Amino acid sequence: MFDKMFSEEAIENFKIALEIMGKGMGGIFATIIIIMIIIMIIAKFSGGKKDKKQQ
Amino acid sequence: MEFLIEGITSVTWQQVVMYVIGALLMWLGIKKEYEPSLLIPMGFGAILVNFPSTSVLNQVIEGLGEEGTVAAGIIEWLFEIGIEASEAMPILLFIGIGAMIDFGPLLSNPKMFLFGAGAQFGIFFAIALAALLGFDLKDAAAIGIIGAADGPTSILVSQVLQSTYIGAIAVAAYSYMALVPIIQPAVIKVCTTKKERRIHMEYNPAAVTKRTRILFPIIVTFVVGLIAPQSVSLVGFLMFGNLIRECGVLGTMSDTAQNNLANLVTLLLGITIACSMQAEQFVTVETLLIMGIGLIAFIFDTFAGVMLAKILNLFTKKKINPMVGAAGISAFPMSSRVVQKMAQKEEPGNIILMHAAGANVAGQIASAVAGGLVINIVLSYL
Repeated sequence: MFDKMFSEEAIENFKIALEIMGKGMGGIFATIIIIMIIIMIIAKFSGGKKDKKQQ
Repeated sequence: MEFLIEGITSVTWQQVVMYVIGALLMWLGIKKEYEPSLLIPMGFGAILVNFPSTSVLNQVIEGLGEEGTVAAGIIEWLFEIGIEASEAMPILLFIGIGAMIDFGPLLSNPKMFLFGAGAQFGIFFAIALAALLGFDLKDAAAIGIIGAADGPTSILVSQVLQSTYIGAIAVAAYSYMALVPIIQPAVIKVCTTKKERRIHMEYNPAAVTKRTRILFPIIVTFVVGLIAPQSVSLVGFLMFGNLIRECGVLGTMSDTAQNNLANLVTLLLGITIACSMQAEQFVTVETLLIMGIGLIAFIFDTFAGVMLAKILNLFTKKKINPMVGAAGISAFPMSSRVVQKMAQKEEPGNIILMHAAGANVAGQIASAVAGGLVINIVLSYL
């Protein structure tokens, strides 16, 4: 295990992992923001009586 | 009489280490009450699978048939059926989890979604770190997902990516989830000032209609299904459980999902995952590295959530207590309670629980999405 640490292959994988980081965080935020916007739109047009659970 | 001591003489030192680890997990669960529903079965299972020629694992019985007969072991069978075949156990558990979650605090304050997303950063930081330390990409991704702070997600991702470290990953994920009350306060105190921790946040919940509560799981499933289809099994079943809860016409089914189903699957999952805690796979340097990387993942989850809140505070008039960002990890409901306790300690009467709960449940969704995205993205590089 120790001979693989910081090896050429490890550094290559590290660079790929940074790409994965960018795509992954971007994908999560994109998904979450879309959900958030849809929920905000529904809440705006839903109106109606206050939910009983919150009364 | 040699057959009586054959078992004792065959025990390896690695198996003895596993007996100690099993006992430790059980002690943490029983004495300290750290995630007992998982650590106790895992601990007991770790002991069961590490007896020489244990019958809970598949064994070749010599003398029966030409080349011997394979006698199926119950734990190995449960692992093959419940985890290897289709990741059934973690996915079914998500029905129960979805049925337990009240998304009201999040729906009344949708901005909290952002912290659920931000607090997944630790996953990717850990993937990068694991890669640098020599793990191959699929193992690095499976290790990084410990940062999802979600047991079923961690097990599913490591199984789909066929990581050989599923046992260590499961132990790390569940152990650190239980240690959130220790890990998070330490990180929060380092990244925030006393003044920031004392920020008050008003709670004015917008009306959350029943229609919104019912539409929410359906919408989330559609959005995730179209953007991150690999997440559908986790998010879909999470939302299915939530729909059962919120539809209002499946009361007994909701109760069953929250209690009987969740308990049954948790019981089986805990003991089944022990199949991957066999000494030769577990007692390795890699396991120690995985435990270390997992801890770093949790630390950076907390750090990223807090920093996101501080960045947002640069642009908003109504300040956000940065501790709410830390609650964006998926360890529900522990993280939100930890944050509220800290707020109360900094200033008695400061109630930020509902904001933290909103971020916390957002983290549950975001972590499941993250799991699917990690699978999708990593597979494209292999």
